[in-house]
Amino acid sequence: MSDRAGLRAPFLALALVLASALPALGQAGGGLGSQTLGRSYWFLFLAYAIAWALVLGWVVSIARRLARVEKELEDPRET
Amino acid sequence: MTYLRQVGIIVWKDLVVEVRTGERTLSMAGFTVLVGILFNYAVNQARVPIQDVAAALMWMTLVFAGMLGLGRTFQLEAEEGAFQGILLSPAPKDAVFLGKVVANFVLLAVVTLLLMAVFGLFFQLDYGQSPLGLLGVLGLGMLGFVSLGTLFAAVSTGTTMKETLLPILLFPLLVPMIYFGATATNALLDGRPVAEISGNLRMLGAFALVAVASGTTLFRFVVEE
Amino acid sequence: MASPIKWRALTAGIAGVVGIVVLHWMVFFWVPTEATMGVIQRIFYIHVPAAWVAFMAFGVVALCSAIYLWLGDERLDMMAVSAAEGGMVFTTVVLLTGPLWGKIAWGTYWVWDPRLTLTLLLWFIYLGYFMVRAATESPERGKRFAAVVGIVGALDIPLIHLSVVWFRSLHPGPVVLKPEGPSLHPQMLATLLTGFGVFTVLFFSLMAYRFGLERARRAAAARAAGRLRPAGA
Repeated sequence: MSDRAGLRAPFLALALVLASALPALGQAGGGLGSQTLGRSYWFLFLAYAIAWALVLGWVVSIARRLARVEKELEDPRET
Repeated sequence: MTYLRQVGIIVWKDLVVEVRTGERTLSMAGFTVLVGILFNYAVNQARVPIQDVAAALMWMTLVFAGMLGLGRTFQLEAEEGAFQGILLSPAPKDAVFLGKVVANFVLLAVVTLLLMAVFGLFFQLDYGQSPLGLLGVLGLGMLGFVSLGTLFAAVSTGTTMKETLLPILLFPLLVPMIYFGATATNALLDGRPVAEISGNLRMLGAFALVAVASGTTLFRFVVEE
Repeated sequence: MASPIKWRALTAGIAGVVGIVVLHWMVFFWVPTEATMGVIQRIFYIHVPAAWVAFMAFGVVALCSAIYLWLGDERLDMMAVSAAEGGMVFTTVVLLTGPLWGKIAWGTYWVWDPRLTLTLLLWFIYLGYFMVRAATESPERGKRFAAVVGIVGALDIPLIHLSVVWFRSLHPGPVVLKPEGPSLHPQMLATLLTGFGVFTVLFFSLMAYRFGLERARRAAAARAAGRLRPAGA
């Protein structure tokens, strides 16, 4: 049970971070200034989001695989 | 038996097989001519005179044709993924590797000469300025190509993907050869003197050296049980 | 599960998170905006550290691969594959953040920038490393093949680097704006160095984590192999 929570937490965190950017989507066109300036901010955010998504994705991938292997090791299978 | 003689025997064996069956040479030669024909129709000669891209086409053709031949280098020796044919041979593994490289080089040299003739004919290329320089550039490039190709041919033959893995393994590593080779070839076809391309030649030489040295050293790890 | 390892992992993890928070504060609130490129230049502070890790990781892969072939110690192969996975992740980061920066700074997503091109080729060399590992029937052979790919790749990278740089010098594209300007502003340097530090720590801690997975996997495989042997054989 705690395994699942531990695995879901990063996804939740990422979703919150990305959700906080939604207002920026709306403003990308005008609210932040000229069109170009808006796109700069959006791309900058995207770059950081992608970078951390990839790193976090890797961490989660390792965690899942580890959980699977540990389950296999703990489970005394009879032939 | 001296080392050189062992290498020579392997070269001889492979070339004899090739002369008898002619499989690899025929497919590489046929490929070269046919690709030349396809290029004629593929290049928009209203926009760009084909001579301007001839160097690029030559190098890419050699790479693709080479892949056809290189992939089958260890076909005889590798049954079901094991390299019994090589492991049982009394020759040291690096001698086997060098023998294979020389044999492959001879095959590819033949194809290169054919390429120069055919592309020269199809695209009205002028080799007059420095034909030897051109041969030198192509030869040096092919040496590096064949060395890396032979090493990775052994690797790919040992996998379930066989020759289909070879491009993925080989192509990223060929960038230096393609860049320096095609640049030098372009210069020579343009009529520049060989002295001008000495930098490119040196890089091609470095590439060939790294390829041969690493192949000779690492081949034994590829074929061991 | 050994306690001291868990404590070390936890400390590394916390250090990593703290480092990431500090880095982001520096990048978004402290470092000044670059004069010519504006806000987008801040990608620099994760793009360059990621590139540093991508190539350093491959160096680790090559070194471990060479020693693995020489000594045959399984742990070296385990280190190599752990470093390779991390290296590939950070290489992907470089390849995705670079074009985003380029689109704003140069106007297009791809201009054969020497460093990006080299990174793209590195990505494919990593791909070859994993494909060769996976495509063999005997895992032992897969490890040896991968080691060969790692070593040859590392030897070729300097030559590829020269090719892509020479190419660029002869075919200059849109004006390549240096990320630093005439010389690196001290605050930019500090932020960049922090980025290097954080990413390096992150890489090695995650590589250790991945190493732990590899160890568990091999223990499980050994156990399974043990069971397959008929009793008394």
